[in-house]
Amino acid sequence: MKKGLKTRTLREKIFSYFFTLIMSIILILDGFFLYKITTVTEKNAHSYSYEIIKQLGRNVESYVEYMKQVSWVLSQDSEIRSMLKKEVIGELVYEMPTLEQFKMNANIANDIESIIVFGTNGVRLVDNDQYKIKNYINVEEMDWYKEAIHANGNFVVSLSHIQNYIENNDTWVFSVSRSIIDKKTKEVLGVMLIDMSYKKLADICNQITLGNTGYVYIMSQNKDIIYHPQQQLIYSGLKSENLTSVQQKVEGSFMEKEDKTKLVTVHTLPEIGWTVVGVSYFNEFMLSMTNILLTIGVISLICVVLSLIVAGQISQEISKPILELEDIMSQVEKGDLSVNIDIETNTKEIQNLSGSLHTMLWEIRALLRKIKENETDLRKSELKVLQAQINPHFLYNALDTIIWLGERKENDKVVLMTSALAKYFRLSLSKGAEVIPLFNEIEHIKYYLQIQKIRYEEKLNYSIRIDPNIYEYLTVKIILQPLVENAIYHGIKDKDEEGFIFIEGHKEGDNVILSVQDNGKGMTKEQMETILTRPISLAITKGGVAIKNVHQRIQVYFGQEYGLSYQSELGKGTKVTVTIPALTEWEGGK
Amino acid sequence: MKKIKKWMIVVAAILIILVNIIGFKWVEFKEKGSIKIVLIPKSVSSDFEFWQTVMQGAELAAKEENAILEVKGALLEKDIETQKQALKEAIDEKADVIIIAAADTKALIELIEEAQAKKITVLTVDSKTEGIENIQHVATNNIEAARALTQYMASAIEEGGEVAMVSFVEGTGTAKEREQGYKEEMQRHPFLKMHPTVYCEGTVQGSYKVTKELLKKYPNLKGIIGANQQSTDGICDAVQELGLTGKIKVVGFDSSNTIIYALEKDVIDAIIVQKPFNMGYLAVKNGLEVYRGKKIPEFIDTGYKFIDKETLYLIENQKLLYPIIK
Repeated sequence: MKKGLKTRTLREKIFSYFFTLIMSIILILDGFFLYKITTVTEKNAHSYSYEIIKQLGRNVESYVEYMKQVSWVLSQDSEIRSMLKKEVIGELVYEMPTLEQFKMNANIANDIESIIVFGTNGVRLVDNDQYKIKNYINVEEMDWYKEAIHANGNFVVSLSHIQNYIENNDTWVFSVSRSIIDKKTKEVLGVMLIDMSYKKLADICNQITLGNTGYVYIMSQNKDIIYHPQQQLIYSGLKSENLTSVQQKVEGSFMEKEDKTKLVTVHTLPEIGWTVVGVSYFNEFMLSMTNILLTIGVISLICVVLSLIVAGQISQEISKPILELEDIMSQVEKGDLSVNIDIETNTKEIQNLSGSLHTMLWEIRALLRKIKENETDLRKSELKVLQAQINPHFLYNALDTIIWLGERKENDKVVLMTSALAKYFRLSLSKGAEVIPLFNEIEHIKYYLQIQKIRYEEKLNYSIRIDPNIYEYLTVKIILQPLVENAIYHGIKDKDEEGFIFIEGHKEGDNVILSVQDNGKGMTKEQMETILTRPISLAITKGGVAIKNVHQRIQVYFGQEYGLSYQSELGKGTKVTVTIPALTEWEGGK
Repeated sequence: MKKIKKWMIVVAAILIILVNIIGFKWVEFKEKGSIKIVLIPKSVSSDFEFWQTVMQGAELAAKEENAILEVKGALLEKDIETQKQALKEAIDEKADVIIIAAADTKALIELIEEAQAKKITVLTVDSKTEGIENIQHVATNNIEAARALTQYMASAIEEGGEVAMVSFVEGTGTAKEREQGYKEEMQRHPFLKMHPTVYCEGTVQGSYKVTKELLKKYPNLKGIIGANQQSTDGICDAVQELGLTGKIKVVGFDSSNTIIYALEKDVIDAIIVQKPFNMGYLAVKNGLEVYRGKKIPEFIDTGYKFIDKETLYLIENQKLLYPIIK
């Protein structure tokens, strides 16, 4: 493990990975939505306010446009013209029914304050005589008069002003004026002045809602403000509008950064020369966005909670069988091989893993059982060998023979027998070593055969032919004696004719081959097949060391490829071949 | 596994708490948008254009600031009891900001101190109180305006002579200040003789009466100065009626149809108009600044405009003379 990394449980890891994944997805989505909503809101704000301002512009334009037509019709009126051509002394105020009629007809919305024609001849034509024109002021000084003269018969729209030519009047108006020109002499006959209610214009502008605090103002061609809801503040310098950039924009909208971001929408009315400007505060458009943001925030939080639950669930689902496996393994670690691997899961890998573990445990158990069995077998066979070393039966028989020889006064044979017996037992014990040189083993079988020869006399004949070169090789002790014993007891003993045992030994490749051959009664096929495999216990009851025991011991000491093999023919005899490796050194002597 | 479950519960709990906090902040934010401002002018009468314009300015500022504006008070300028009542109501209603034009410099001290003790931001507009600390005043610099007006009159009376002031309600802050400015400036013109100030009790009729008496008492009077709209109205009426147009230099505070007519007719030479719209606007704006804990100067000058016959119909002056669009 790398340094500095804290060990974490699988569950914690899966949980944190999932949680991080889900959180980052949520964050990315939130960011995306935020960006999208901001841009969309901004775009909408622009198009929304532009539409509103355009609509307002249309209203204002149609309103003024209509007056333009009215003033044109009136300026062409012959009755008015004839009145203006009259010669009068001083000033003459005359109420004209035509003007009143026109005012009545045009004044659907009650937004015309007055229609007055100021004649250069001193005639004042008015729509009614309810108001008094101040006789002490000079209208020729006034802007609307000068502009109308300058426009030479064309239509002029003035800035807002008080009707200061009418006595006791404090009505705010904006004026539509037009000079009336004599068609023949091109002389100015007078100026017609239609005063429109400024309040109506203000109302039209105020009706517009651009957010909570947005407003609309109107600017003239000369960058004069015609209408502004905060005109007072502007004159006092408490507030200012960037009229230059508005004039440059002409059409469309732009953002202006002050302490608050303003969205300024501009729409120019070419017919009148006015520019309608909408100012709205961008953060108000964003207010609806805050609601959306709040919703997104709440949804995100719900998602986070859900992701916590889901991540928890997933991590539990995945880690549970592994944790169970871990439990089982720790039990196994403690030595309990009999645990039951029963994990409920539908995960293929976990199923495979637990299956493998199951097989592995099963095999370990089988192996252990086998090792145990081998151990007991080995112990038993060692016991057998021990028994064989001091086979009481054999000893008894040998002693019996000695007594018998003694009684017959065959002293030579007694000496021979006793000496052979003594040597036989000494070799049997072999100072406790299990593996002995082959020479000793051959000596051992020679003494044994000497003893048996004295007993069986002519009935037993034998011959030993061992290649002296193999004497030095090592062998497990007492392997030939049981084979020879077997040959005597089962092959020759019950036979009427003379028995013959032939012992041979030589080296063949890396192996040493020893064989014991008899001319006894031989074995059936079944006997031959079972002789090496039948249970050892059977052999014990029959006395003597079983052939199987020899076979097993050779295999335990030298390996599975070594051991005994039988050739036999019923009635003709049996040949046992012993194959052992040609070893001169033995390590780990047991 | 149990550990993780516990951990999840903790996280969920934290999230829930967070949501609540955000929610509360949101509500707080919303509520903060509705700061309550009470404006108590000297008169709530719709005939009184000056105060109507103050209200308009205040309304605009309140709209810009997303605050709630309530106007209450007396119909008559000298009705101090009703104004006190209105102030008491505003305190009981737990207004956040109270903007008051004190009808008397002393009568309201206790109530204003009570409001301040209750952590209500109090500002005076136009007319101030005396003896209260830590109170912002939003008004015309009356002393300076009176001096400017007096100086104009003094320079118009080249040959020197007698001068008098017609003031309105004795004891009102504005009246005191204007008289102070007038008197200070008069000391710089030794060739002018200053007669004692007379009071018209805030009505045109009263002013008309006291002016006539004044002219009778001092037939050599060369200049009269009116301390507010009603005073000046009355002076104009009296001077015109007595046929003294052009013989007496008249200057005054504020405007009205009578005054404008008088300007056109050369009855009056010059006037000083205040900026009531700015007064209302700036009072609310500054009131909110104070409420939000910002330090602002004790006195906010809203400015004034000097108008004579020549500048009468300049568009920006029209806006001051006729602040309400009709």
